[in-house]
Amino acid sequence: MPALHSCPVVSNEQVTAQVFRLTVRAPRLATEAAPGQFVNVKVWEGPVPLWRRPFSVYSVDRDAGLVGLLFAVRGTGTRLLAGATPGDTLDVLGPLGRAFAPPPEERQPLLVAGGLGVAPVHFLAQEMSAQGLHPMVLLGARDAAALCALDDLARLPVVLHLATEDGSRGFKGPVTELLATVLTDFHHNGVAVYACGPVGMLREVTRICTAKRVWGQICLETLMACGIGACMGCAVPTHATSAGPNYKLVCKDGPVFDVRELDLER
Amino acid sequence: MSADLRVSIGSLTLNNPVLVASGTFGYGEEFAPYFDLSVLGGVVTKTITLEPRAGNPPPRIAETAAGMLNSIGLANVGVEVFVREKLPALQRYSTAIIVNIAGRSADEFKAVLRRLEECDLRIDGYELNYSCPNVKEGGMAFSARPDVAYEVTVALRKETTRPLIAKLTPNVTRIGEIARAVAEAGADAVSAINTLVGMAVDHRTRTPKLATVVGGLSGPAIKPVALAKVWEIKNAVSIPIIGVGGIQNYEDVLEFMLVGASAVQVGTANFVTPDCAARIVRDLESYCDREGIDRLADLVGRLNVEC
Ligand SMILES: Cc1cc2nc3c(=O)[nH]c(=O)nc-3n(C[C@H](O)[C@H](O)[C@H](O)COP(=O)(O)OP(=O)(O)OC[C@H]3O[C@@H](n4cnc5c(N)ncnc54)[C@H](O)[C@@H]3O)c2cc1C
Ligand SMILES: Cc1cc2nc3c(=O)[nH]c(=O)nc-3n(C[C@H](O)[C@H](O)[C@H](O)COP(=O)(O)O)c2cc1C
Ligand code: FES
Repeated sequence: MPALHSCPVVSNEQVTAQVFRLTVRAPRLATEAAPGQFVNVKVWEGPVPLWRRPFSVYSVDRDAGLVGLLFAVRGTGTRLLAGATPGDTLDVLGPLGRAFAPPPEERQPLLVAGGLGVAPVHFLAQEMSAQGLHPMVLLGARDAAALCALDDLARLPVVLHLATEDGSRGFKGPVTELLATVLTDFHHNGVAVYACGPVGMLREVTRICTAKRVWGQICLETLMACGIGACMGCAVPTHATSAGPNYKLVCKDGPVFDVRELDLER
Repeated sequence: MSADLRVSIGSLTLNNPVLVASGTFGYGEEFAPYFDLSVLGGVVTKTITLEPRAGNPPPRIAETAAGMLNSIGLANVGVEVFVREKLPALQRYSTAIIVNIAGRSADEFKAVLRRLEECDLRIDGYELNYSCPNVKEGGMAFSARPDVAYEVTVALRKETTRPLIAKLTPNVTRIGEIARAVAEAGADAVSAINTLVGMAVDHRTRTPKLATVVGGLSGPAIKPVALAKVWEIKNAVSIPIIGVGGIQNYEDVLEFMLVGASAVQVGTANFVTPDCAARIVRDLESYCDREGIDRLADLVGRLNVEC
């Protein structure tokens, strides 16, 4: 059940020039959250910025009652959040949204992350590893310096492949190209793809999965005012029917969608 | 002894003056995880139209200084699904259920109202969303012209004995005239205000932030405008006013009541703090206890203007 949680900040470390790893004490959230779900954080008391800010759950430690977020400083809200220190308490709403589904029929999970899309993918890798599934993780970024969460992923029993657009580390090119290459090793119904990253990347993942008839789920980001399905602001187009355009809500129907559900080409 | 928070809106008695605004509370159930909806004075549901509507293309929302813009486009399930699936779920709460309706013409308004009158579920009143565009009047809001607002209200008045609340747009020169017209036509109350026309621009991409270019502004940024409109209406009519616009806490509610609102609606604040309206009710109770106020309704219109 989603709820409002008052969460003491345990730590807030800077992991790259722009990225922070924030850990809060939130026992109930840690127990209830599933990979792909997100929380909506009130970063400030005042009316500016007005909205909460949504972040994927990056990690949970159920025994210690901790929840981790991984976030990039983009603007006012995340700059304020970067200033959070132990001793502060954050007002956190969650867990929200639909989680990733388990891989059907024992398929090989293939986790694809672009940039900060690694946040839900790391939690998914954590959970799958704990369940004895053996996920393969493809992690992409602009360059080697922008690869986040490498240390945490390296601690998990996953097969990790890296891709950078400038070739400074791992495969040279977008992570979706790496995905297309890796997929040639699998029969289409032997694999389950899970992806999170910028919308351009998810569009490409959708194209690849659809063309190869591969089961896949993508985790999407949009602007959100409420995060709970009340404002209808986070609409994304689905494939149009005879009745005209139709939309799904990222916060309630997603953020995880089946690759066949949305029309990202529009 | 606890204070009496009850207020009257025409023949309707609310447990307290705190309602939640149309379009900011979904169909109600979305907020059930956060508090017991029965503590509210009332729930005003998302605007319902005759046919379901998908709404406008994204981006539909933008954050502004102490506010937000929206161009949701009255996305809703349509009256049929509303009666079958949404309204039944609200029945178990002991709070007033106000159904907000709209149409592209007076006939369409009437058709929605008739369908709701036919169903045997509890409805405590209707709020008429007069801010939506009237196709016949060239897309102008129903409440942009007193004669049009009058005509539609007269037509709807014939269809029901339940309380009718006309929700007015602030995007007019003289809101008092519109309020007078709907009062003469038989409306039991008015709600003020709906969103203000606004715009947000991204200077880097040189594009508007909303797909529809302009949208409706809401949130704390509009509270001073809403207070002024309530004040103007108060000086024009004697029917009850429900104040809406930027309310975030109990102090905001007191301000609206002093200016002349009998009740209020909490809108955008529900997005930021889902149990905001419930907190406001609690805080109003403590306020009355603290200040020795027996009847909160006694504050209505008690603004001291000799300053
Ligand atoms: C379900 C969900 C999960 C998310 N998970 C994470 C996460 O794990 N880590 C993380 O770093 N970010 C995540 N985001 C994005 C994060 O919410 C935004 O970066 C944040 O809201 C920006 O706030 P701000 O006040 O710093 O930026 P603002 O000042 O509001 O805007 C600055 C710039 O940031 C960009 N921006 C704003 N909101 C978003 C958004 N929702 N998505 C993408 N870009 C945006 C805009 O282009 C804008 O120009 C997630 C978003 C969603 C919807
Ligand atoms: C996202 C959003 C959707 C809205 N939808 C409706 C609606 O369907 N019908 C309606 O009468 N008003 C609608 N409104 C207007 C609100 O009910 C309210 O009048 C307005 O937001 C001002 O109050 P606030 O500042 O407290 O939000 C909407 C407002 C927002 C922010
Ligand atoms: S963010 Fe409000 S409905 Fe999704």
